[in-house]
Amino acid sequence: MDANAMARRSIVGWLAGVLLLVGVADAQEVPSGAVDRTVADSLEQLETLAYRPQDLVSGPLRLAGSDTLQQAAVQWISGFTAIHPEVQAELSSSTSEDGWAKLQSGQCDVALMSRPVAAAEVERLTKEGKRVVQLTVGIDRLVFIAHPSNPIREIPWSAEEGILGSQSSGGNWGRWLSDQKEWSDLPIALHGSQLGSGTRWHLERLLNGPSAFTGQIQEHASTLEVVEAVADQKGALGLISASHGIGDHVQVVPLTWTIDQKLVDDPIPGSLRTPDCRPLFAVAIVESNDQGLRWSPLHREFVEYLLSYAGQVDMVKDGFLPLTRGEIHAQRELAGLEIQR
Amino acid sequence: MICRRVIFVVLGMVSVSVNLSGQEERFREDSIPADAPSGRYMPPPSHAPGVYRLGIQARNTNTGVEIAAVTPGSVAQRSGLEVGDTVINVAGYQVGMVGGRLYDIGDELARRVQGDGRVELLVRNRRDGRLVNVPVQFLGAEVAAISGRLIAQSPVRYSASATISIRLLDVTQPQWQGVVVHQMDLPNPGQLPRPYRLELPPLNPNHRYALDAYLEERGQILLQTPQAIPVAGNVQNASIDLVMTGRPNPGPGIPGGLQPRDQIQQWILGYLRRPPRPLEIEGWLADLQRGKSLASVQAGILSSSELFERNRRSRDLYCADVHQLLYGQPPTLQQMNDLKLRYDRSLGVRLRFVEDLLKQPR
Repeated sequence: MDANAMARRSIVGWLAGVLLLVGVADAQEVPSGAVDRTVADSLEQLETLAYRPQDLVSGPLRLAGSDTLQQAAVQWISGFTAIHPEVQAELSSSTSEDGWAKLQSGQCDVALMSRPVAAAEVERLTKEGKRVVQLTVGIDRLVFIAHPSNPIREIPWSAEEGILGSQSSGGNWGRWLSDQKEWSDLPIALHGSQLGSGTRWHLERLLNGPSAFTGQIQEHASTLEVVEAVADQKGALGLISASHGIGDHVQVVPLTWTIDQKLVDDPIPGSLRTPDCRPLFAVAIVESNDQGLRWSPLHREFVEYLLSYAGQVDMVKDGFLPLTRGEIHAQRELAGLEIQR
Repeated sequence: MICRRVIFVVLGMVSVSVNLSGQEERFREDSIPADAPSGRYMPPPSHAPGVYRLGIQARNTNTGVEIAAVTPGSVAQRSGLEVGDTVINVAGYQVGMVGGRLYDIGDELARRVQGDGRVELLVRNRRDGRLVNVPVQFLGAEVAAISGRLIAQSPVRYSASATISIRLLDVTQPQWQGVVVHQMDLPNPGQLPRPYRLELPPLNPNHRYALDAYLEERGQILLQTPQAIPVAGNVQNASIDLVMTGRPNPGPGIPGGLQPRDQIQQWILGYLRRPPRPLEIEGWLADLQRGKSLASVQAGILSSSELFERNRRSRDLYCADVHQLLYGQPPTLQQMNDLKLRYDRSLGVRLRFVEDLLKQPR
């Protein structure tokens, strides 16, 4: 086996990244504009993971949570109840917090969330003998946007420091554009969605890494308003979901990271997703015993549907990325579904 | 950009090769070419996943696939595999969790089992911890497949861009119309009649299945089997000819005579004001193949989160925009009130709102 020379490189773009475990080469800069694809986005890879109903199920199925997942959830309900017409599905669409609260109080069966459940909350419920199953059901690609006149071409990110540094509350564009006189003293004006939204949670994570962000973020009620605000303000930097469309009035600024960086704080089991990929979740509280998780037949069938080709097509239709085969297998294992091979 | 390959050794036995352009290839240690081109990552299995069943309950770990249970009489038992053994690789390709990514043993078997049913597994023996090569032989009788001929009863012209799809349907319940449990696509099928062979995944012996086929081009179905043909649940090497005829009820024509793919593209361009993303068209066409109507696709695009976001997540702006997109003009005051009522009646579920609008226009 020939040993190739190691080179320093960093990977640009929102589909890049391969995580190396041992003996990783030093990173080197990749020219901006290059896009690397590791993750297979194609649905073709998933066609053989068809939804195979085991039983005809019936009864109430209550979904509640983030309106980011509203459209996909409606498609899920439509597809699932076409096969199980005796299922009475309800959807309450608002916020991840609302879904999580309803799940804990028993007002819904599955919470739809655009940010992960806090580890402390999972631990608390586990101590009460309840098992929280947080399944990734699709991926939302988040992108940073800047004013079109901004000469920035990429922003370096690390898991420990985010893009601003672990204790930073903002700063100037000079941190990345020190040689650009017009920009070096210009403050970075941050724009994002409203507090409590999943996108906002991810923005703060990307800004400071694990530290709490203490700076100011101008809040907006919709993606369009974030885009308009950034297009209108020279020093602006915003974070939006790519699934909502971006338009021509702002520029997308990709993140870069060195190849030996841990890529995501909250890894999706079986995945190598990058920090600008936001997992979307279906969360349930399931009884368990020595034999494993004990899903009701209805909920088990629904989870099987979400993690099938049909369920992933429903995500794609609203602009999200599907899971890869490996991610689906990993989620099935997380759900305690038997892996018979 | 120079592509470099970084190779490192896991367990001293298997190499994982990572192409730094972002694509990963996993090669046997003795087969890594000095300067292999960066190819497509992980091609789909050459056989239907699940066709080659070892007969184990698997648990994926960072060091391979741990065997949690062995089915009596299975290939795994015949090969000497036991509970607690760990399969490290299949024909040199590591399985389990590798570098944070999961490589499913079923998928790997579908790729690596040779034509004569043989494959070699590297296994860590649970008794002494030693690594052993375990030859596995799948017998022909253990691979269920249906073969036959695809026949066109009606003459129809199609180009190389046409595709024939053969579908295995679960018809156990009368409500289960179009529950596709396995599908094989034959792009550029050439002249008919032609042979086919559909390898089957494990089937539930308590369920009933049926087979159908259709030929489509750009989303338009040109030929299809008039009815799905029942197959036995425990079929082994059955032979079934699939005779396709022209669509008996082609349905109302699409305005302008557009093919479904083109119509979907036009809707995305017109409603979302941008070109379609590749996965989008795929997703909507998959819906049509599952039996959904073009109207449901239209409703889905009009109710997308993207369109709602573009209207600042405002009910009123969104309703007015949908009206404009459908009818080419803004709504009158009375029409606007009607739209708001409909929207509120659908509890803010946009898909239901648009479906209602398409069924009962102004």
